[in-house]
Amino acid sequence: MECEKAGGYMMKYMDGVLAEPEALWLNKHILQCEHCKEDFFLYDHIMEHFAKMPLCDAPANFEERVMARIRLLPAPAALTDSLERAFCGIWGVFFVLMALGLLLGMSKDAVIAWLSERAGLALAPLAALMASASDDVTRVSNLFLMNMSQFLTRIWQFFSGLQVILLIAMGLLILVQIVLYKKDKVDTAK
Amino acid sequence: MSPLTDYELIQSCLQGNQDSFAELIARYKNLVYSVILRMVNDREEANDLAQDVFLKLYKNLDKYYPDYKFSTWTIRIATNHVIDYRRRKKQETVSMEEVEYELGTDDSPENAYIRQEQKQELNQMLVDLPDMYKIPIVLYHEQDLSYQEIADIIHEPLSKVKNRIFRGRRMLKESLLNLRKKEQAGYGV
Ligand SMILES: [Zn+2]
Repeated sequence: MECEKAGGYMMKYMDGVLAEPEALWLNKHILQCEHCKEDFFLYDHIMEHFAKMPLCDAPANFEERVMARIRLLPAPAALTDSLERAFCGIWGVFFVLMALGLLLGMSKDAVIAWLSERAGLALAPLAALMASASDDVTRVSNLFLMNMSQFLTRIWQFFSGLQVILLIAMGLLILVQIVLYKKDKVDTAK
Repeated sequence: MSPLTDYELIQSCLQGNQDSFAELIARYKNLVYSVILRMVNDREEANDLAQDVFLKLYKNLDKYYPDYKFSTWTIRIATNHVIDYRRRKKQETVSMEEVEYELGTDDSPENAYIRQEQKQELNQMLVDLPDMYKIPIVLYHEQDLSYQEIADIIHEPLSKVKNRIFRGRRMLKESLLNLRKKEQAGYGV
Protein backbone atom coordinates (compact mmCIF):
# COMPACT_ATOMS: atom_id res chain seq x y z
CA MET A 1 0.00 0.00 0.00
CA GLU A 2 2.72 2.44 1.01
CA CYS A 3 4.85 1.34 -1.95
CA GLU A 4 1.95 2.00 -4.32
CA LYS A 5 1.63 5.50 -2.91
CA ALA A 6 5.37 5.94 -3.31
CA GLY A 7 5.10 4.81 -6.96
CA GLY A 8 2.43 7.47 -7.56
CA TYR A 9 4.62 10.12 -5.98
CA MET A 10 7.52 9.06 -8.17
CA MET A 11 5.35 9.68 -11.24
CA LYS A 12 4.50 13.13 -9.85
CA TYR A 13 8.18 13.70 -9.21
CA MET A 14 8.96 12.92 -12.85
CA ASP A 15 6.19 15.30 -13.91
CA GLY A 16 7.73 17.99 -11.74
CA VAL A 17 4.51 18.42 -9.73
CA LEU A 18 5.47 16.79 -6.42
CA ALA A 19 4.49 19.02 -3.50
CA GLU A 20 6.89 19.54 -0.60
CA PRO A 21 5.05 17.40 1.99
CA GLU A 22 4.80 14.63 -0.61
CA ALA A 23 8.51 14.89 -1.31
CA LEU A 24 9.26 14.61 2.41
CA TRP A 25 7.02 11.58 2.72
CA LEU A 26 8.64 9.93 -0.30
CA ASN A 27 12.08 10.64 1.06
CA LYS A 28 11.19 8.99 4.36
CA HIS A 29 9.71 5.96 2.61
CA ILE A 30 12.74 5.49 0.39
CA LEU A 31 15.02 5.44 3.43
CA GLN A 32 13.01 2.54 4.83
CA CYS A 33 12.09 0.60 1.69
CA GLU A 34 14.88 -0.97 -0.35
CA HIS A 35 12.59 -1.81 -3.26
CA CYS A 36 11.31 1.75 -3.71
CA LYS A 37 14.79 3.12 -3.25
CA GLU A 38 16.01 1.01 -6.15
CA ASP A 39 13.05 2.10 -8.27
CA PHE A 40 13.61 5.73 -7.44
CA PHE A 41 17.24 5.66 -8.53
CA LEU A 42 16.40 3.80 -11.72
CA TYR A 43 13.76 6.41 -12.57
CA ASP A 44 16.19 9.15 -11.72
CA HIS A 45 18.73 7.60 -14.06
CA ILE A 46 16.15 7.45 -16.86
CA MET A 47 15.15 11.09 -16.31
CA GLU A 48 18.78 12.11 -16.37
CA HIS A 49 19.14 10.28 -19.65
CA PHE A 50 16.19 12.17 -21.10
CA ALA A 51 17.57 15.48 -19.89
CA LYS A 52 20.92 14.78 -21.54
CA MET A 53 19.50 13.47 -24.77
CA PRO A 54 20.73 15.86 -27.44
CA LEU A 55 17.95 17.46 -29.46
CA CYS A 56 18.58 16.39 -33.00
CA ASP A 57 18.66 19.01 -35.71
CA ALA A 58 17.47 18.16 -39.19
CA PRO A 59 20.28 17.81 -41.78
CA ALA A 60 21.71 21.08 -43.09
CA ASN A 61 20.11 21.14 -46.53
CA PHE A 62 16.76 19.80 -45.37
CA GLU A 63 14.62 22.78 -46.45
CA GLU A 64 16.18 22.97 -49.90
CA ARG A 65 15.64 19.27 -50.51
CA VAL A 66 12.00 19.41 -49.47
CA MET A 67 11.35 22.59 -51.46
CA ALA A 68 12.97 21.06 -54.55
CA ARG A 69 10.51 18.18 -54.32
CA ILE A 70 7.61 20.53 -53.63
CA ARG A 71 8.34 22.68 -56.69
CA LEU A 72 7.65 19.63 -58.81
CA LEU A 73 4.14 19.47 -57.37
CA PRO A 74 1.11 21.52 -58.34
CA ALA A 75 0.08 24.32 -55.97
CA PRO A 76 -1.69 23.09 -52.83
CA ALA A 77 -5.37 22.46 -53.26
CA ALA A 78 -7.29 25.63 -52.47
CA LEU A 79 -10.98 26.35 -52.17
CA THR A 80 -11.39 26.55 -55.94
CA ASP A 81 -10.56 22.87 -56.05
CA SER A 82 -13.76 21.83 -54.35
CA LEU A 83 -15.73 23.81 -56.96
CA GLU A 84 -13.76 22.08 -59.69
CA ARG A 85 -14.48 18.74 -58.12
CA ALA A 86 -18.20 19.53 -58.02
CA PHE A 87 -18.15 20.41 -61.72
CA CYS A 88 -16.28 17.21 -62.47
CA GLY A 89 -18.96 15.27 -60.62
CA ILE A 90 -21.76 16.90 -62.60
CA TRP A 91 -19.98 16.26 -65.89
CA GLY A 92 -19.26 12.69 -64.84
CA VAL A 93 -22.94 11.97 -64.13
CA PHE A 94 -23.92 13.66 -67.39
CA PHE A 95 -21.56 11.52 -69.45
CA VAL A 96 -22.55 8.30 -67.73
CA LEU A 97 -26.23 9.02 -68.40
CA MET A 98 -25.43 9.91 -71.99
CA ALA A 99 -23.47 6.69 -72.50
CA LEU A 100 -26.29 4.65 -70.97
CA GLY A 101 -28.80 6.37 -73.25
CA LEU A 102 -26.61 5.65 -76.25
CA LEU A 103 -26.28 1.99 -75.32
CA LEU A 104 -30.00 1.68 -74.78
CA GLY A 105 -30.65 3.45 -78.10
CA MET A 106 -28.26 1.15 -79.93
CA SER A 107 -29.86 -2.01 -78.56
CA LYS A 108 -33.44 -0.74 -78.47
CA ASP A 109 -34.70 -3.23 -81.05
CA ALA A 110 -33.41 -6.16 -79.01
CA VAL A 111 -34.96 -4.79 -75.83
CA ILE A 112 -38.32 -4.20 -77.49
CA ALA A 113 -38.30 -7.70 -78.99
CA TRP A 114 -37.45 -9.20 -75.62
CA LEU A 115 -40.26 -7.30 -73.93
CA SER A 116 -42.90 -8.25 -76.55
CA GLU A 117 -41.91 -11.92 -76.40
CA ARG A 118 -42.81 -12.02 -72.73
CA ALA A 119 -46.47 -11.33 -73.22
CA GLY A 120 -47.29 -13.37 -70.14
CA LEU A 121 -45.64 -10.76 -68.00
CA ALA A 122 -48.04 -8.12 -69.32
CA LEU A 123 -45.09 -6.16 -70.60
CA ALA A 124 -46.56 -5.65 -74.09
CA PRO A 125 -47.88 -2.11 -73.28
CA LEU A 126 -44.43 -1.18 -72.03
CA ALA A 127 -42.88 -2.48 -75.24
CA ALA A 128 -45.33 -0.48 -77.32
CA LEU A 129 -44.64 2.65 -75.26
CA MET A 130 -40.91 2.15 -75.65
CA ALA A 131 -41.20 1.57 -79.36
CA SER A 132 -43.10 4.83 -79.89
CA ALA A 133 -40.75 6.72 -77.61
CA SER A 134 -37.71 5.32 -79.38
CA ASP A 135 -39.20 6.37 -82.71
CA ASP A 136 -39.42 9.92 -81.38
CA VAL A 137 -35.85 9.76 -80.12
CA THR A 138 -34.64 8.46 -83.47
CA ARG A 139 -36.44 11.27 -85.28
CA VAL A 140 -34.97 13.95 -83.00
CA SER A 141 -31.47 12.52 -83.10
CA ASN A 142 -31.57 12.24 -86.88
CA LEU A 143 -32.59 15.89 -87.04
CA PHE A 144 -29.76 16.77 -84.68
CA LEU A 145 -27.19 14.79 -86.67
CA MET A 146 -28.33 16.40 -89.91
CA ASN A 147 -28.02 19.89 -88.45
CA MET A 148 -24.69 18.98 -86.97
CA SER A 149 -23.27 17.79 -90.27
CA GLN A 150 -24.51 20.96 -91.96
CA PHE A 151 -22.83 23.02 -89.24
CA LEU A 152 -19.55 21.13 -89.64
CA THR A 153 -19.59 21.61 -93.42
CA ARG A 154 -20.06 25.34 -92.93
CA ILE A 155 -17.18 25.46 -90.45
CA TRP A 156 -14.99 23.53 -92.84
CA GLN A 157 -15.85 25.97 -95.62
CA PHE A 158 -15.02 28.87 -93.31
CA PHE A 159 -11.61 27.45 -92.41
CA SER A 160 -10.68 26.29 -95.84
CA GLY A 161 -9.65 29.78 -96.89
CA LEU A 162 -6.66 31.87 -95.91
CA GLN A 163 -8.26 32.36 -92.54
CA VAL A 164 -7.02 29.00 -91.35
CA ILE A 165 -3.37 30.08 -91.52
CA LEU A 166 -4.16 33.27 -89.67
CA LEU A 167 -5.99 31.37 -86.95
CA ILE A 168 -3.20 28.84 -86.48
CA ALA A 169 -0.68 31.65 -86.22
CA MET A 170 -2.79 33.35 -83.54
CA GLY A 171 -3.14 30.10 -81.62
CA LEU A 172 0.60 29.54 -81.66
CA LEU A 173 1.19 33.07 -80.41
CA ILE A 174 -1.14 32.52 -77.46
CA LEU A 175 0.58 29.21 -76.67
CA VAL A 176 4.01 30.84 -76.62
CA GLN A 177 2.67 33.54 -74.30
CA ILE A 178 1.32 30.94 -71.89
CA VAL A 179 4.61 29.02 -71.85
CA LEU A 180 6.59 32.21 -71.20
CA TYR A 181 4.23 33.26 -68.41
CA LYS A 182 4.51 29.88 -66.66
CA LYS A 183 8.29 29.88 -66.93
CA ASP A 184 8.39 33.35 -65.40
CA LYS A 185 6.20 32.24 -62.53
CA VAL A 186 8.46 29.27 -61.77
CA ASP A 187 11.58 31.44 -61.88
CA THR A 188 10.22 34.04 -59.50
CA ALA A 189 9.10 31.32 -57.13
CA LYS A 190 12.70 30.14 -56.75
CA MET B 1 6.99 43.90 -38.60
CA SER B 2 6.05 40.93 -36.45
CA PRO B 3 6.59 37.48 -37.99
CA LEU B 4 3.59 35.83 -39.59
CA THR B 5 1.71 33.25 -37.54
CA ASP B 6 1.65 29.64 -38.73
CA TYR B 7 -1.92 30.09 -39.88
CA GLU B 8 -1.09 33.20 -41.90
CA LEU B 9 1.78 31.33 -43.54
CA ILE B 10 -0.57 28.47 -44.43
CA GLN B 11 -3.07 30.87 -45.96
CA SER B 12 -0.30 32.49 -47.97
CA CYS B 13 0.79 29.03 -49.11
CA LEU B 14 -2.71 28.16 -50.24
CA GLN B 15 -2.67 31.31 -52.35
CA GLY B 16 0.31 29.90 -54.23
CA ASN B 17 3.19 31.39 -52.28
CA GLN B 18 5.61 28.49 -51.87
CA ASP B 19 8.14 30.54 -49.90
CA SER B 20 5.70 30.58 -47.01
CA PHE B 21 5.98 26.83 -46.85
CA ALA B 22 9.76 27.07 -46.72
CA GLU B 23 9.28 29.21 -43.60
CA LEU B 24 7.01 26.56 -42.06
CA ILE B 25 9.64 23.91 -42.77
CA ALA B 26 12.28 26.07 -41.09
CA ARG B 27 10.06 26.34 -38.01
CA TYR B 28 9.24 22.67 -37.60
CA LYS B 29 11.96 20.63 -39.32
CA ASN B 30 13.88 19.93 -36.09
CA LEU B 31 10.76 18.88 -34.22
CA VAL B 32 9.61 16.53 -36.98
CA TYR B 33 13.08 15.16 -37.59
CA SER B 34 13.88 14.42 -33.96
CA VAL B 35 10.53 12.78 -33.25
CA ILE B 36 10.97 10.56 -36.31
CA LEU B 37 14.59 9.81 -35.42
CA ARG B 38 13.47 8.55 -32.01
CA MET B 39 11.00 6.29 -33.73
CA VAL B 40 13.29 4.81 -36.41
CA ASN B 41 16.75 5.35 -34.86
CA ASP B 42 18.43 5.83 -38.23
CA ARG B 43 19.47 9.25 -39.47
CA GLU B 44 19.20 8.53 -43.17
CA GLU B 45 15.79 6.93 -42.79
CA ALA B 46 14.61 9.73 -40.51
CA ASN B 47 15.72 12.29 -43.07
CA ASP B 48 13.76 10.61 -45.87
CA LEU B 49 10.69 10.14 -43.71
CA ALA B 50 10.78 13.74 -42.46
CA GLN B 51 10.93 14.97 -46.06
CA ASP B 52 7.96 12.78 -46.94
CA VAL B 53 6.07 14.18 -43.97
CA PHE B 54 6.57 17.76 -45.15
CA LEU B 55 5.42 16.80 -48.64
CA LYS B 56 2.34 15.22 -47.09
CA LEU B 57 1.73 18.35 -45.03
CA TYR B 58 2.01 20.48 -48.15
CA LYS B 59 -0.44 18.34 -50.09
CA ASN B 60 -2.94 18.43 -47.23
CA LEU B 61 -2.59 22.07 -46.20
CA ASP B 62 -6.20 22.79 -47.17
CA LYS B 63 -7.29 20.19 -44.62
CA TYR B 64 -5.66 21.99 -41.71
CA TYR B 65 -8.04 23.72 -39.35
CA PRO B 66 -6.69 25.98 -36.63
CA ASP B 67 -8.55 24.11 -33.86
CA TYR B 68 -5.17 22.63 -32.99
CA LYS B 69 -1.73 24.13 -33.13
CA PHE B 70 0.08 23.54 -36.40
CA SER B 71 2.83 21.72 -34.49
CA THR B 72 0.23 19.31 -33.07
CA TRP B 73 -1.13 18.54 -36.52
CA THR B 74 2.42 18.18 -37.84
CA ILE B 75 3.48 15.64 -35.22
CA ARG B 76 0.27 13.71 -35.67
CA ILE B 77 0.96 13.37 -39.39
CA ALA B 78 4.61 12.53 -38.70
CA THR B 79 3.88 9.76 -36.19
CA ASN B 80 1.11 8.29 -38.34
CA HIS B 81 3.39 8.38 -41.35
CA VAL B 82 6.12 6.47 -39.53
CA ILE B 83 3.63 3.90 -38.24
CA ASP B 84 2.27 3.40 -41.76
CA TYR B 85 5.76 3.17 -43.15
CA ARG B 86 6.68 0.53 -40.58
CA ARG B 87 3.57 -1.42 -41.30
CA ARG B 88 4.52 -1.44 -44.96
CA LYS B 89 8.11 -2.35 -44.21
CA LYS B 90 7.04 -5.00 -41.67
CA GLN B 91 10.35 -5.77 -40.07
CA GLU B 92 12.27 -3.11 -38.28
CA THR B 93 15.99 -2.61 -38.79
CA VAL B 94 17.87 -0.72 -36.15
CA SER B 95 21.43 0.48 -36.54
CA MET B 96 22.73 1.92 -33.31
CA GLU B 97 25.98 3.24 -34.78
CA GLU B 98 24.01 5.95 -36.51
CA VAL B 99 23.11 7.71 -33.28
CA GLU B 100 26.14 9.42 -31.83
CA TYR B 101 26.45 11.14 -28.51
CA GLU B 102 28.76 13.79 -27.24
CA LEU B 103 30.80 12.62 -24.28
CA GLY B 104 31.97 14.55 -21.26
CA THR B 105 35.61 15.57 -21.80
CA ASP B 106 36.58 15.18 -18.14
CA ASP B 107 35.87 11.45 -18.18
CA SER B 108 38.52 8.79 -18.34
CA PRO B 109 38.29 6.66 -21.51
CA GLU B 110 36.98 3.68 -19.56
CA ASN B 111 34.32 5.75 -17.84
CA ALA B 112 33.41 7.35 -21.10
CA TYR B 113 33.07 3.91 -22.64
CA ILE B 114 30.81 2.66 -19.86
CA ARG B 115 28.68 5.78 -19.98
CA GLN B 116 28.40 5.49 -23.74
CA GLU B 117 27.35 1.87 -23.34
CA GLN B 118 24.70 2.76 -20.77
CA LYS B 119 23.37 5.58 -22.89
CA GLN B 120 23.08 3.31 -25.88
CA GLU B 121 21.39 0.66 -23.80
CA LEU B 122 18.79 3.08 -22.48
CA ASN B 123 18.30 4.44 -25.95
CA GLN B 124 17.81 0.94 -27.25
CA MET B 125 15.24 0.28 -24.52
CA LEU B 126 13.39 3.37 -25.61
CA VAL B 127 13.48 2.24 -29.24
CA ASP B 128 12.22 -1.19 -28.18
CA LEU B 129 9.16 0.23 -26.41
CA PRO B 130 5.94 -0.30 -28.37
CA ASP B 131 4.85 2.84 -30.27
CA MET B 132 1.84 3.40 -28.05
CA TYR B 133 4.19 4.05 -25.09
CA LYS B 134 7.21 5.34 -26.95
CA ILE B 135 5.47 8.16 -28.81
CA PRO B 136 3.94 9.79 -25.69
CA ILE B 137 7.19 9.28 -23.73
CA VAL B 138 9.32 10.90 -26.43
CA LEU B 139 6.88 13.78 -26.87
CA TYR B 140 6.65 14.37 -23.14
CA HIS B 141 10.21 13.86 -21.97
CA GLU B 142 12.19 14.86 -25.02
CA GLN B 143 9.99 17.40 -26.77
CA ASP B 144 8.54 18.84 -23.55
CA LEU B 145 4.97 18.72 -24.81
CA SER B 146 2.12 18.81 -22.29
CA TYR B 147 -0.24 15.91 -21.62
CA GLN B 148 -2.98 17.86 -23.37
CA GLU B 149 -0.89 18.44 -26.48
CA ILE B 150 -0.04 14.75 -26.65
CA ALA B 151 -3.71 13.86 -26.20
CA ASP B 152 -4.49 16.10 -29.19
CA ILE B 153 -1.78 14.45 -31.26
CA ILE B 154 -2.69 10.84 -30.63
CA HIS B 155 -6.43 11.51 -30.39
CA GLU B 156 -6.83 9.86 -27.01
CA PRO B 157 -8.22 11.16 -23.73
CA LEU B 158 -5.87 12.77 -21.22
CA SER B 159 -6.23 9.87 -18.78
CA LYS B 160 -5.05 7.40 -21.39
CA VAL B 161 -2.04 9.56 -22.25
CA LYS B 162 -1.03 9.73 -18.58
CA ASN B 163 -1.50 6.00 -18.22
CA ARG B 164 0.67 5.25 -21.20
CA ILE B 165 3.43 7.55 -20.04
CA PHE B 166 3.34 6.01 -16.55
CA ARG B 167 3.38 2.50 -17.99
CA GLY B 168 6.13 3.42 -20.44
CA ARG B 169 8.30 4.73 -17.60
CA ARG B 170 7.67 1.58 -15.61
CA MET B 171 8.60 -0.55 -18.62
CA LEU B 172 11.84 1.40 -19.08
CA LYS B 173 12.61 1.00 -15.40
CA GLU B 174 11.99 -2.74 -15.56
CA SER B 175 14.27 -3.14 -18.58
CA LEU B 176 16.98 -1.15 -16.84
CA LEU B 177 16.56 -3.23 -13.69
CA ASN B 178 16.80 -6.48 -15.67
CA LEU B 179 19.91 -5.21 -17.38
CA ARG B 180 21.55 -4.30 -14.08
CA LYS B 181 20.72 -7.72 -12.66
CA LYS B 182 22.20 -9.41 -15.71
CA GLU B 183 25.34 -7.29 -15.43
CA GLN B 184 25.71 -8.12 -11.74
CA ALA B 185 25.29 -11.82 -12.43
CA GLY B 186 27.95 -11.51 -15.12
CA TYR B 187 30.43 -9.87 -12.74
CA GLY B 188 29.69 -12.45 -10.05
CA VAL B 189 30.89 -15.35 -12.20
ZN1 LIG C 1 8.24 0.87 -0.85
